[in-house]
Amino acid sequence: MKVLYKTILAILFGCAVASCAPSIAPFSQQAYRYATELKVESLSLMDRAENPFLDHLKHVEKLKIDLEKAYEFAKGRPRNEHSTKQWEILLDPDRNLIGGFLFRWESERQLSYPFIQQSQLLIADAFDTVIGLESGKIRFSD
Amino acid sequence: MSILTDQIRENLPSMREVILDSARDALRKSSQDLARWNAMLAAGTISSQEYEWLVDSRISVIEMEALKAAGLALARIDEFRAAIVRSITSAALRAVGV
Repeated sequence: MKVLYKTILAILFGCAVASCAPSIAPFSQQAYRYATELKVESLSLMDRAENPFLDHLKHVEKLKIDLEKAYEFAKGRPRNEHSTKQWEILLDPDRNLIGGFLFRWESERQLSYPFIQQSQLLIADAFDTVIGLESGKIRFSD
Repeated sequence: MSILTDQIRENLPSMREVILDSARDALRKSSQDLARWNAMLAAGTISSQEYEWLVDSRISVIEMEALKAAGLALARIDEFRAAIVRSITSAALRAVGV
């Protein structure tokens, strides 16, 4: 009878472990840090878009590299498609978020202050969706 | 069966709220933005190209909001599933006297 109990327990444990495999990646402190820091850096660089693009080329290049790192980090995590897609939209130069803003700044050389201000509100919201998704994921300690 | 019913009663409202809150928030923000940009366009503060760009940008943010809501719903489903497994396992252990 004891053998039967142990078998049942082993089966139950196996089922529990199998069904606990999450459908979305758990919370990552690193991903959260990337999103919060890049939000601040992006909005800060956007403040300078009233000036000629070439004056800030170095800063733009550095920001682009940092954004790519965050995207690659998201892409490399298993079951992280939602966050990865968010970064893709955010960075795409053909869409109108940070990737598109930097592209527009480069094309037009300098941008108007009201336009920069309105874009900052939208890009801040966009980063907040990335941050909100990451912070809503299950934490290992939960 | 009552374990499942309890878990569903407890968890389903929070999943529904995640999605509804996100949709409500997106609608509210979009209408506020449009009203502000309309006024700015009329006053000549932004050009028509800039106006168009901002509208497209808001649409991209809505898409990102939808991805967030979908991702959060999956996270809630994971929590829900883990809670059911815990309940069933502890009930089974009690039944076999362990």
